[in-house]
Amino acid sequence: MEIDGVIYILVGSTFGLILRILINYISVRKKVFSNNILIVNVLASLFLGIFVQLNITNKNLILFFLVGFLGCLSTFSSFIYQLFNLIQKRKYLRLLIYYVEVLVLSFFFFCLGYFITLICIK
Amino acid sequence: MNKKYLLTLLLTAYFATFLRFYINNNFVIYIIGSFLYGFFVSRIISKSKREILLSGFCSCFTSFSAFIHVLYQFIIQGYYLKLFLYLNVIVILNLIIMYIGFQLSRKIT
Repeated sequence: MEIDGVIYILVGSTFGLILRILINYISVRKKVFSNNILIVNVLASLFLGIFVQLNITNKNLILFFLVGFLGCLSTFSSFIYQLFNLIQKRKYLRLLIYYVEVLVLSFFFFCLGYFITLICIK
Repeated sequence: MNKKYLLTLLLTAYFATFLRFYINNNFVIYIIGSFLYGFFVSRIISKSKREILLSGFCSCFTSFSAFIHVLYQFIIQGYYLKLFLYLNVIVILNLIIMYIGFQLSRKIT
């Protein structure tokens, strides 16, 4: 891999990490929304929808946005940990509802980004 | 938030991102990430270390957007049954792996 690609990934991941920490900070201190991991994942899905619709073939931009920014912004293991935590508390119904909620919401926002970009391009 | 803490967090995130880029296989990444998350979370360590390991390393290592991207590719190709199976298998498998990591970490200490 060339040095350009490395720099693109570094910059992208910095932005992603800072945005995630900022959302985490806001949700803990200001108590605007209770579940920061859901917000982060849904936001990443929205961006992914926009990105997929734009159909970018530039390799550096893919490295910057998909690998760096979205990869660091969204988190899968924290989502699994939330489910794990619900199992430990034996709230099985909450677990099922939360699981479906996350998938439906992220897919809805993915489609939202996808179709909004489609309309904007035309 | 001091400078040293932020720098460590950033370096951990860079390391995790490059590791993800070189492995380049979502399935393996999820399993390793969940195992490590379970392993770290059951240990009693200081809050800043916990933040660096969980929020910095594990969260940057596993990415949810790649998961949604795979689902999108399945839908485009029309594999609806495969999509449903893939979704549930990944989540259940990762929950089991995280439990194994959790228990293993308790046994060791």
